[in-house]
Amino acid sequence: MLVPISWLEDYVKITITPEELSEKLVACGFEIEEIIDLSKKIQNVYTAKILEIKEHPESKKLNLCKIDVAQNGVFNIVTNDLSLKVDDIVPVALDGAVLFDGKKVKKCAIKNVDSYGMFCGVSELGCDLSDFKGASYDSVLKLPLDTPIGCDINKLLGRDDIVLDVSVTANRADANSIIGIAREVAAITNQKIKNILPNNDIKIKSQTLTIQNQASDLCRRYIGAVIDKVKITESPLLIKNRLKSVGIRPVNNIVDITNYVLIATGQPMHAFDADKVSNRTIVVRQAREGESIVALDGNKYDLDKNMLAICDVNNPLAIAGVMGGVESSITNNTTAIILESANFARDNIRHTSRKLGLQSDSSIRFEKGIDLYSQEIGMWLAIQLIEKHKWGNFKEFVDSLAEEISPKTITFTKDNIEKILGISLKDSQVLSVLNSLEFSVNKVKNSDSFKVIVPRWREDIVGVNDIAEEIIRIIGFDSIETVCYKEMSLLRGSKSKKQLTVDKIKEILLGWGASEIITYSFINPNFSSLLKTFDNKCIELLNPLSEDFSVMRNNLAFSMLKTISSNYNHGNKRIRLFEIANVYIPEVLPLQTLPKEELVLCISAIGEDFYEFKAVVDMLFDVLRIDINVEKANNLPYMHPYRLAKINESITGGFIGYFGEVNSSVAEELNINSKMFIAELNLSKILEIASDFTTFKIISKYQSSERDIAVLVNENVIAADLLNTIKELNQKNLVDYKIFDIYSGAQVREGYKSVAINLKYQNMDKTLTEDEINTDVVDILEALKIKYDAILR
Amino acid sequence: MINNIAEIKDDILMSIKDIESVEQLQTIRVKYLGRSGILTNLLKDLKNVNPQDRPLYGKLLNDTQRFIEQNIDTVMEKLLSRDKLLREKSESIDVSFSKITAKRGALHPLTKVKNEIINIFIGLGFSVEEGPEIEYTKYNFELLNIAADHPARAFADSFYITNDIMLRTQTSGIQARVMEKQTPPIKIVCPGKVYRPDADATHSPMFQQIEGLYVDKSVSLADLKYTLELFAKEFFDKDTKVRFRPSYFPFTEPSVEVDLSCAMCHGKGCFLCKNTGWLELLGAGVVNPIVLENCGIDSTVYSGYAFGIGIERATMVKYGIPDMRLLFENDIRMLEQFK
Repeated sequence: MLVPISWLEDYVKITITPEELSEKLVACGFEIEEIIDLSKKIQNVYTAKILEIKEHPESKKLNLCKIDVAQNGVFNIVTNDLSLKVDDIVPVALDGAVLFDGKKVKKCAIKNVDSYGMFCGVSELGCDLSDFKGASYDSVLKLPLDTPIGCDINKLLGRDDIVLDVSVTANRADANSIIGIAREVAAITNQKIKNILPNNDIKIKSQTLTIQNQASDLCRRYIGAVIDKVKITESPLLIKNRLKSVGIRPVNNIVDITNYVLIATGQPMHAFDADKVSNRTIVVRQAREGESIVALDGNKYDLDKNMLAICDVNNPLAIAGVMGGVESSITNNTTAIILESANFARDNIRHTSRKLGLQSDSSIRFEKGIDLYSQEIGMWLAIQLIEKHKWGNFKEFVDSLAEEISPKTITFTKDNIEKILGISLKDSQVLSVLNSLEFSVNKVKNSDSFKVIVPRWREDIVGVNDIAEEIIRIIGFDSIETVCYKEMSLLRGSKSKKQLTVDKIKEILLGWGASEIITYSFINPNFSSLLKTFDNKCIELLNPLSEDFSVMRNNLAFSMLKTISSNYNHGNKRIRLFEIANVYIPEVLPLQTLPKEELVLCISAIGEDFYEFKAVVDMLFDVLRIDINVEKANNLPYMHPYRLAKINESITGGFIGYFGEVNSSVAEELNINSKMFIAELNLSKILEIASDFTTFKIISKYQSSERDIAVLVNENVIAADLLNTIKELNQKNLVDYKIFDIYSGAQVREGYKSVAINLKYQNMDKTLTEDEINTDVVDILEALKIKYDAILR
Repeated sequence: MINNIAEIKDDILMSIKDIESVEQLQTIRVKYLGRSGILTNLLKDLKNVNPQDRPLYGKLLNDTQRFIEQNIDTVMEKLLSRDKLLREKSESIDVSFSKITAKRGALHPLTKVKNEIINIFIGLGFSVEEGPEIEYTKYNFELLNIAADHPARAFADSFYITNDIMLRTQTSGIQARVMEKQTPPIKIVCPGKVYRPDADATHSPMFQQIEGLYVDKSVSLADLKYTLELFAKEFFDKDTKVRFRPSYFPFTEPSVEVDLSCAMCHGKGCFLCKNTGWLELLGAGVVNPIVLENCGIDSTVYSGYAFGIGIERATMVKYGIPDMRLLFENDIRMLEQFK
């Protein structure tokens, strides 16, 4: 919020520079976004009196003026405003001046006559005529004749202020006002806040105004006041300048007062034309279905029963806390007004504002939350200003709040505070900090306890921890010495076994040359058109940032393929990438309970062949000690129908992933003319069954023997089945077996292939004889023959 | 006979003197020592020699045989080592040329920094806990003292799936889950992806956080400051300073923003810290007793501190990355810088 320092000075004496003040505010919890010096906007522009006017020797359209700029001197200025007369007071931008739009002025010769600067109109000064009483305007601004000369124009415009842009945290709703900041400034600079309470009791009994609060849960307090003999006019310069300096456009005295009070006290105000309120009765109620209102912005808004409306006995007059209606608004003919100072529930205001798409300074302020005390202060300040300027007579006052609010009290000991903060404190420190923040503090008799009464505007203070925070933010965090823990439990920190396994998997993939990527968890629902899959049962966000980020992914393949594609199209032809992330699997849609989050490992590569890619998948399962079965599959439309494998865990047969070559039409869509491979593995399941190295096996001292056999089988027989057949024989001495070549073509019968198998035999206790080995080999050949009609080549 | 032998010796020395190749030398060996070589034949003839001359004659032949072998061997060795040198010379390659490149992949910089942060806290006794990214509002908000009308719950500040299921906006939900099921002491760090509807150079709609929580008997704000100072010195360097500024989070009271002295300029002021000398890197505070009570922990016995670090921000600061969006482009040219 913008805080002009001169406005702050209405409530607290400022004894330090704006920079020092900013530092102190930051230290006590108010960040300063910017220190704005309004006087820097326009520079070197002064009021001047015209002493002499001569015609320009070379042009009839120009005049040459001699001007007096008091302490700055006497100068010659060339002007094209021929209406200027001797003794006129005008603003002049002297050599080196900076104008409102940032333009710089330099002395120069105009048709061979030197001009030491230029006269200014309203646009060069960024103001309007109404800023100067009695001013007129042709091309150059003519100021009232009693204007002092040599006066900095900023000062005349009231633009000599320094404005702090203060950001207020969400808990400190009370500080969203000049008075609120003034209270903090008083506390941190050891000043007293100037009295902001009315001296006289303003609770004048009402004669004509009735307030019916029918929604006391949405409107905790409603104060109405009647002012009659109202004179609608322009506000004085001070009020207009203050409003402008916080970014509010002045309108007329009554509207300006409501805005002024909002900024000064944080209390939104509204003024109704009293004669437009039938029976002078204000009804606070929820709107009825079908009701509508034309608001001050000229638009018609349809209200619903969740919205709070301020009505007379018949119709809505205003959308509570958001915007008033045109019908009851202040006009130049208004003679009596009803002022509103109310406390509306912030979530209701937020809801209404969002639903109508309508925001105002008032609604923004209400959304931050307002304490029950501000309504009095706001109303009092409004009435005081109206009376002071003689804009009307204050007549009546009605407060919907029946009883006094009893203030909160908190009891605590110094030890409580010291334990929270980890520092030691003196009684006097506790007392002085809390007093400076207008807490009233009493030591409880015969005990160590303090009892504080919390200021009524501090709704954020509820317990001892809050008191501790108040103390530490005022005495400063530097007072905390960082020493090692006084007490602590000795705990061992660690990652879980699964987390460590994920790290290990990453290490393996890094060693293989793959880099890790991190992509967004939400994707575009059109992923299913790239993946050509109809299984797009995804969780949708209610309020996505855009369509690209609108559904929670159920696969990593889409983002992976996109990433590979963008890298490929940047000129990388050999790519290995992996990602480990959750996918989100709903049980029912819309969600009733939390969905399953499955950790998935996606690996992808380009610029190699199927078996090179498969090798890394094999390696992973080998390292994780998981036995797998790899089978041909063709159920993924974005994959090559003959180069897709599904992976099952061999003991339970459970599906744990797939790998293979990406369908060429998908690659084409991604602008890739190279073979792409991808694997998606269900890490959640893998982590369940992965095991670590457990026991060491003795290595045989005896010689091993290898046998290579080549068999002819039907081309449909797959390698894995042949190996399984060998495995099922469970030969004790067979320590390793693998297929090392599959060949079809010349010298192999049509429809058949030759499979070369390497067998390795070894025994723990002796060197095996030829006979022992041959018997085993024959058994294998026999088994392969029975099951797959395999013929030894 | 003796003359004959002397002749043989001379012949041998002559014939191997200028010999060129191993093969020629083999031929000579065969010529003299082969099955029907000259010397072999002489040895066979020994049986025809007069018995009293045999010892002398035999010795002479044996000496000659050794003489021949030794000379052939010497030359053979020379030839072999010459041949080896020739072969090696012919095998000369340009060792400066890298024909094949073996590449190690790179961890994503965010993972690298996340691991680094986690490891520092593991060293300080924190364990790593994870939790669901799609979360009930109860764990993301209610238990953490963020009431139903709190602005942070607005549509503009959180992604929703249903009225009470959302994408977590912070990993604090994990803390609540752990506190519900575990009795203190609790000392955990909770890394994970979190989601907020912001997207620009310094905000990403998905980002990663690490939150820490320590609940025990008599944990104070001073303990928090000590811990974070240790962290900062490890993560940046030992001269890093820590500054607390008051702030507000509903789940901590008192709450602080934690500034670290700028890693680049050490407080002198530079572009990274926008000339302030300080980097805003963490939010922290003393756990609000309301939160402890919400999670079933007796706040009259236990207290705690909590802190949260944005991993993206820490990564950008640590490596001088100017735009957060770069971290999610996954351009290999960027990733490989972090191998």
